[in-house]
Amino acid sequence: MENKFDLTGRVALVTGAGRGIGQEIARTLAAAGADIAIAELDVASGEETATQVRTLGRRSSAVQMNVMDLESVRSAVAAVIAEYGQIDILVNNAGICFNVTAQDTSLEQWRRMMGINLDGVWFCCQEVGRHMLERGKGSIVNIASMSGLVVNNPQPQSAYNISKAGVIMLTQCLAAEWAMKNVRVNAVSPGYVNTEMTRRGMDTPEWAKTWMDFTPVRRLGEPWEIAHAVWYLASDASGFAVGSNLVIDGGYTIW
Amino acid sequence: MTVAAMPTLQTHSSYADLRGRNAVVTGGSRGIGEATALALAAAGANVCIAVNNSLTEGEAVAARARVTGVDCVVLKCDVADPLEVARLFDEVAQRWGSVDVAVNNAGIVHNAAAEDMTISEWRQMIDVNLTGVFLCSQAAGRQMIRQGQGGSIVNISSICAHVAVRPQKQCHYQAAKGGVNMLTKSLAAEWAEHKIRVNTVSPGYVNTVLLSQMTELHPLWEAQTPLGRLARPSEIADMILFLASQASSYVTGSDFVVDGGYLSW
Repeated sequence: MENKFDLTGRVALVTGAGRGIGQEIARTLAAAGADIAIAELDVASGEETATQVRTLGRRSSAVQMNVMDLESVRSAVAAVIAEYGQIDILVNNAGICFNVTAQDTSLEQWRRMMGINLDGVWFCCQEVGRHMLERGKGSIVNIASMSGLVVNNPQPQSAYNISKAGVIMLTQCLAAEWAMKNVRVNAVSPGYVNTEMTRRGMDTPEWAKTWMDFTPVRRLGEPWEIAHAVWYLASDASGFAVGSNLVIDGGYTIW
Repeated sequence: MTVAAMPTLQTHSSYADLRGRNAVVTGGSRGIGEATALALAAAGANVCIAVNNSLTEGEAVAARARVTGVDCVVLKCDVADPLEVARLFDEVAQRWGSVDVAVNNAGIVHNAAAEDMTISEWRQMIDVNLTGVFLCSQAAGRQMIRQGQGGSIVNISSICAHVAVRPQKQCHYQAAKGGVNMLTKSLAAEWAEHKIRVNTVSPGYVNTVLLSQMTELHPLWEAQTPLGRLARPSEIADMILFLASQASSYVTGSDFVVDGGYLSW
């Protein structure tokens, strides 16, 4: 029987794969057979992931990319295409979060959040999307967040939540535009996942207590639990999934 | 706080490993149910195909499922009948020792304008498509709670849980599917402590026997779908496979839409 989950011969570009969820996505797609190009602001951390991926027997390398800078995105994407010849899968994973009340959010903070979390996804979709449209195939997976659907509690992070809501709608817009051209665009929306980004919060007892109180399964997700859904969306198994947003949150958004 | 164990690269390479798991698929003789029964069997699960009247078709699917080396049985069940549902899950538990996966897929479709709909048409739809899902979820949940090892329940909903479809008129179907989504969230919240995950898959238009009675509408539906075509049943089954397996261990109360982009418009 044909294995629709097999990614052998595919090239995946994963942004922000130097750590956390992105790193696990790189490892998972590689285990499924794909070669992995890593785009990282911190290129040294990207190299570490690339080394791990190479031990799985796949090609992998890291390129520096500042996702909020269009020129940086352009040159990094061009470098990846030059090196690998193609990009079949794009995972827009790079993102930041900080916690500040709406009234105290500075214009600079707002712009940085939107620049990385929303402009960055837009730039990468556009640059890699053009390449995929030319080739007539591709799968793009955007890492959004449950924060694009509900307001987190108790920590204030309105700019983050707004940026992620933007990613969910961006996903649907591009999915609808590109569906007939065989370029699929979908999103995965994690809840709280066991990464450096949430560790700070889990170290704050009041936050940790509330987070777990709001999560029916009473635990954090593990990066691999997100990566498996990305694998599904990256593969041919998800051929009819277009503009979908897979929420993986241990039930957080039910309550 | 329990931390989920990371799968090995072996489970990575097979995507969803259901070896040693026992699954029930209602409406498993055709369409999405047939594709799901075959996908679960291919992943290593023993599969019970539950059907209301298409026993012969069910046997044909079972024969194909057994090729993968798993055990497969066809049992009669009217999902709207509490006694039959209870008996179904009892029989499966007795045969294999456990029920680990329940895919509540059985459903009917019918068109009627709201102003002309009879109470019996309404009741039949709600009985099969909503009460049937409740009864099967309840029976599966009771069994899984007794087993104490958790489990995965996947309810097949529809884009009709999200938007009113057109041009066909089917307010009872839409209401039933809307109910399935909220039922699923409620059960997911209640049973999280038992490690039972409950999720829905909401397909768009799928090329199945169920919709073959409306072939004249297919061109319209294709035009309403960004991808420009109907789904193949296997394209829904692969999503169900993900939710049935440990690959989705942090997913509960979610609704995974596989609709060719229908809801984006």
